[in-house]
Amino acid sequence: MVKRSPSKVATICSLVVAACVVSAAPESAYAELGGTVASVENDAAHLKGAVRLAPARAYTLHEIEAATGHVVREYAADDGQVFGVAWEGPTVPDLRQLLGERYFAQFQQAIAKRKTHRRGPVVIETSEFVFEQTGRLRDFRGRAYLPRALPSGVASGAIR
Amino acid sequence: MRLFGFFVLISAVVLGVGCGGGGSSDSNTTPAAVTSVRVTCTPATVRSGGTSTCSATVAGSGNYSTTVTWTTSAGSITASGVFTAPLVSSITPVTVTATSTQDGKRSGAATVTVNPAGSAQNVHPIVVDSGPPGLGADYYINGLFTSVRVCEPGSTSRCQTIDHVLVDTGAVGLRLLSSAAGGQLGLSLPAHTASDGNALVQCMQFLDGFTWGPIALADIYLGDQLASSVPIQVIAPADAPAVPSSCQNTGGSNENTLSRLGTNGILGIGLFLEDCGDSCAQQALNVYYSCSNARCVETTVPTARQVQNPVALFSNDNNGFIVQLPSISSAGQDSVTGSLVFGIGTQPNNGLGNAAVYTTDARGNFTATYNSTSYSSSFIDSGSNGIFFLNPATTGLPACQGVYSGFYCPTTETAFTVTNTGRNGVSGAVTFNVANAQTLIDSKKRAFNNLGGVLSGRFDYGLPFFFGRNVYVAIEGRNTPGGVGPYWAY
Repeated sequence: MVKRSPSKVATICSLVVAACVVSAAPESAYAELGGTVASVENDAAHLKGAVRLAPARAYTLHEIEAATGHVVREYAADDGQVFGVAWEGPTVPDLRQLLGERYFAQFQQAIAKRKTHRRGPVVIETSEFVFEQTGRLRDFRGRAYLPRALPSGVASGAIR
Repeated sequence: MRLFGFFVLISAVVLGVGCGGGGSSDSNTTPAAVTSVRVTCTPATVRSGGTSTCSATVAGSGNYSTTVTWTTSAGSITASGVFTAPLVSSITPVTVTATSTQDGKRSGAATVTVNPAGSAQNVHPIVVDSGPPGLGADYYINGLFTSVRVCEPGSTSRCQTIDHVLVDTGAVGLRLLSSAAGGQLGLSLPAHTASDGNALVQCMQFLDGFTWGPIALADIYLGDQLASSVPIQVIAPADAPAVPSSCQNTGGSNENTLSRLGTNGILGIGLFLEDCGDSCAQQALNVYYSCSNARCVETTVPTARQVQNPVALFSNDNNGFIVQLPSISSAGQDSVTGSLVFGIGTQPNNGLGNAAVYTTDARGNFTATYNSTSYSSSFIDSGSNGIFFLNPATTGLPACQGVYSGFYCPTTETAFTVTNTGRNGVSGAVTFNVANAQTLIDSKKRAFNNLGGVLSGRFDYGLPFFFGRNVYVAIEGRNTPGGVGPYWAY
């Protein structure tokens, strides 16, 4: 069952205009991995997108469709914590915003440690944080999640 | 014991170049038998009177002989497989055959295309090797490279030939690392502008990094083929504006040095006419920026002014191309040479032959099906080092650890058969092997047909897919004897 949520769509900036976002919204307004569901609407605003809610057992999927062609899916547990995020679109979205500072830093550190001149999907897997990204310009897809924060009975494959 | 068996299998497949006889030292008492002979000749296309080096891979069981005798339908060939083309006045296919000396019923053949001297050439050499010499210990693995000649538009003297440019069927457009950043490009190329007249600068995104630099115009020669006044990206020139945060926040590394990029440039010649397409024409995205006084803002760019696929701008042979790479040993090779052949069905040397056409969707994807599960967003990409697919739970292959993580590290080489289906409904099975990536990489070889890695949800057929195949890339909207692009054929 998917229903359209009440329209709270602001049109501040697109997700991909981070500089603008920084000046328009306080840091705490970012939705981020490990953050709370309250910030999903802020992401929708940054994306100029509409949110669709898809309740599932033990979590709620918030799907944001942006006019830019990006689709972001944020997975919030019943306690409100965002434990997973998935994205697809013509370009790489603002990952600093989607992952939050903590996991964006982990992503960047893992990239720096990769054996050089590897080209192909990025797969980062630690006990705390999993990140995957594939594709090329016109068609990027990725997901990130916190394995320890997955609600009981929810498999990581649900995040896609 | 299984590990031992794996190495025996490898040792039994021996290159036949200049082989004086003898066989593998298998300690088993299996009767000696030759089962197959495969032949590859590189380059696969030569000019009249030119030479091509042919090798035979003999497979068999027991203490079999790997010796072959060489014959050719025209021209001549030495006992060690060096073929000399006949003098021809029109494009002529020549068959080179290797026959097992132990079993005269076992032979293999390859076709060498001989072009007349002075004819218009649509063939350009490619190589898989370590990459630019400056990389040292960080050399490239499964990197497909070529040389590109670029000139200031309209000039035939203010030109540079730049070697070790990565051939990437997954990203459209030519990007060259500036000499200021450790690359080779030192020409002063005219700037391409945004619609507001400011400098047009790009954040080109890859999976783990981006290239930042202005768009400029250049004449591009690939062999004898010319694409005139083409928008290209100059990576990290000295006067590039600072990278905007919306580009930085894509999260990867800024590939602004030779050691980071790993190549002197990237030649993107995929399915599409330009790099970003309608998305960047209709929306200001974090790809193209209008920059003035070091301040950059995202801007829309009409498709015709975006970075272009040079093949589509050739005056002839511009509907697509073929990537030709020979079969290689499963133990890996130090280098492999092959050809780009421009055009599909436009010359005697670029017909589709028996290749099957797999059309793609608007994003360049087709469907791969493994064990009854379909992955509808699968693609082919010469710029990916390996074949990336599924995960350890689905494949049964253990993942590598440490710096090798992301690849598979099985104890024995394992074969996979996958069915690819185009959006046109055409289906065909492909088989590939996955060996232990740590063993392969530690061997210090450069080219592998069995390097595989993890990828959930789709198949990414990287460079291993290209070995032993002619892979046809048909450009969107262009007519070919196999229909209108975009499609892959092989």
